[in-house]
Amino acid sequence: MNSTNIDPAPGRKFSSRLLILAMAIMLSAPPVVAGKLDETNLRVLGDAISKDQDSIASEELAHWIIQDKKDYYLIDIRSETDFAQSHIQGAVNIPVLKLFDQQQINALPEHQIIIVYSNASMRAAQASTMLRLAGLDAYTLVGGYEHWVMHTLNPEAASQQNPNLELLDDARRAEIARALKNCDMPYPCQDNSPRGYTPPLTPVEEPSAPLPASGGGVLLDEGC
Amino acid sequence: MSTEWLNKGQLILLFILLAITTLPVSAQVSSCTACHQGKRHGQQTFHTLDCVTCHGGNKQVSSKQLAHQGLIAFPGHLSNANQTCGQCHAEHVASVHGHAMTTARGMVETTRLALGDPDNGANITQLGDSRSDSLLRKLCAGCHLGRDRVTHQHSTLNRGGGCLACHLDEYPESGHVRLTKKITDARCFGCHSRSGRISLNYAGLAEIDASQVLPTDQKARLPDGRLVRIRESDIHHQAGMSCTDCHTRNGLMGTTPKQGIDIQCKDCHQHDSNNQDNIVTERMSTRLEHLQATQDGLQLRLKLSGKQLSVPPYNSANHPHVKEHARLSCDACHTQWAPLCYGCHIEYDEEQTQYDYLEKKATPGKWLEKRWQTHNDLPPLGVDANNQIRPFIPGMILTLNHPDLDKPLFRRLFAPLAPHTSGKARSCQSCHCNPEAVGLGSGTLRLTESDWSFISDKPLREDGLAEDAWQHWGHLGKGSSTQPGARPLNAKEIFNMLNAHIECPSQTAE
Repeated sequence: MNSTNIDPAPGRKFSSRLLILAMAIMLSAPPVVAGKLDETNLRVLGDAISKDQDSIASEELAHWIIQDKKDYYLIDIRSETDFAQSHIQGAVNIPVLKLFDQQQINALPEHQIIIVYSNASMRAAQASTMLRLAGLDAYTLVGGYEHWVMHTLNPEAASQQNPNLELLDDARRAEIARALKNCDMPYPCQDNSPRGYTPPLTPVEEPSAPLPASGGGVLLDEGC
Repeated sequence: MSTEWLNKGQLILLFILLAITTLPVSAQVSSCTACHQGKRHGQQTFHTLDCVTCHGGNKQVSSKQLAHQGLIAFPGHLSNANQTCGQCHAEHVASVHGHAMTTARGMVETTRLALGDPDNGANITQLGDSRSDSLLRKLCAGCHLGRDRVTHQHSTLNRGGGCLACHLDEYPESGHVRLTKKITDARCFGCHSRSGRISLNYAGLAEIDASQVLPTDQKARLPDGRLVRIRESDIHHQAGMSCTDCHTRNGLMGTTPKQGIDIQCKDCHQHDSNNQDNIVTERMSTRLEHLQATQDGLQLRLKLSGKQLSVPPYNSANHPHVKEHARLSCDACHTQWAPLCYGCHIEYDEEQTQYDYLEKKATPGKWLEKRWQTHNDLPPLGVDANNQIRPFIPGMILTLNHPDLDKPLFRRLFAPLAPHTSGKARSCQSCHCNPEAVGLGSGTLRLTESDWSFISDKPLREDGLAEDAWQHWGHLGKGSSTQPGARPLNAKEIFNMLNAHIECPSQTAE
């Protein structure tokens, strides 16, 4: 018998680990999620994990973006600073600490696919598992943002680093990269670095209250 | 050996005694780190220097009092830089003292001009007690390199800090600040997101007032609370370029005090192809080491990311009417928008107090500044002191109320600006058919037989000009500027533009 240990069912082992992880998360989950936990959610979650239907590949997401699909909600759970520097287009930044606030969970769309990503996969998988337990149709972006940048936005560099990379052929990956970078001008497309610095921004929720046309003005907290 | 005979208190005491008895030995070997091992005191800079090289003091003695003699807590402050950073970087430290970011001469000169006070050439740390100097002390003097600062966080509200204003990489929880030559745009943001708002413009963030109604996904708040509209960023920003990919060390630290900006567009986009091996800036002959001429054209290596960009060369086929446009700066056409604020009201309240950046304490008197009519549109063009046609913005259109004044003071001064919103060139019509482009403000510009006429559609201000105008139709070329020698386009230049056979909508330029 060959002395090499070959796991006869790596997928099952991985899935069982995920199940244990899910159970651990479930047991330690804050009341906000536990309040929504029910048997149906747990069964659906287990089913999705066992069939590897709880994640999405970055190439698939890239196609959705190119096709301008609107039926998904993309959540970036990295820090506000990381998000401000660069992110996948269309993503909404909800740092992981804020994601499980009761109001935040209630505000998430119930009838859209929710895709969660972090720098890699682990935290996003934990987050999307918890969102599934809360009854939402959540998925993990496989490989996270690092994979996205390396394999989708930067296919040439990825090929140099790993010549055996065959997720997509070179032409297709380059095509996706061009489309995602909106290359109607020559210079940005030649470089694969993200855009320049953008300061951390916070969304504005409230509608702007119209001011009088004149005589009002905005009082500045310091010089102009 | 069992330690059961020691209780917890005795153990702590034992450790303290051990520490005290060990300290002199360590100190004799060298060192500051015998004591300073805690949070934020470990050595972690890219310099391989010992502590005293920058911080002074005496590392060979054991007592705190002796070790701290001559200690410099903040070596990066400009007031310390001659003794600290200047030991090795003497040339840059010497020159940065005279740089515009240290003296803020432009800010002082402009404010004094606008408020009608004489200018004696003082820099921002030599202000007196005039109205304009009081305003500068309380509203403006936070933005200069000489301002001492004791925090290093990246923030739009953190400014100054001498050498460390730029050369600070990060301030980790468990280590010394790390110095760097790679200057991120975040270091520039605190000061340069104000006034002409270069840092904001470059990132595609247009400051707006709450009265501007926009979908919520098109606006956001900066960390300091200001409201911005999210627009397309500068084409160089889209390519991943940072401030220091263009702005050179000589431009930023000033080998000669008078020359603030070193780089020009043509240094990269129209560089001399016969001089492939030594690509330098035209103004200050700074070697652009991150540019390399290749068979495929000029290649730019980004300073922060190391990525390569091909520099698109100037193409004369894309730039028609070269002779007629010879005086235009690149950004006269390639600017997408610029911040235009047409209303500012400044009031001085003697009854209140306000922080004085030079006195470093609150002193009597408070300046209150309000603004309105904030736009972010294509800017008007004007002529700078070098006779070049450039974008201009309202530097100050202000009404000043002060107890010393019999009546409110109204001033209107436009300022030349490089808006940093580069992209595709504006259309021919946006200049040749547009009264706003020539500084008249919005209204109807009409050609009747052979004569042009103009009627503004905006209310008039105290000086008889429309609120968004720089000059009057009847006195072309006479508007004031913050830059000595700069002016609006004159009658000859305007009529050359209007009669340039550009097809304007319905022969009526509005």
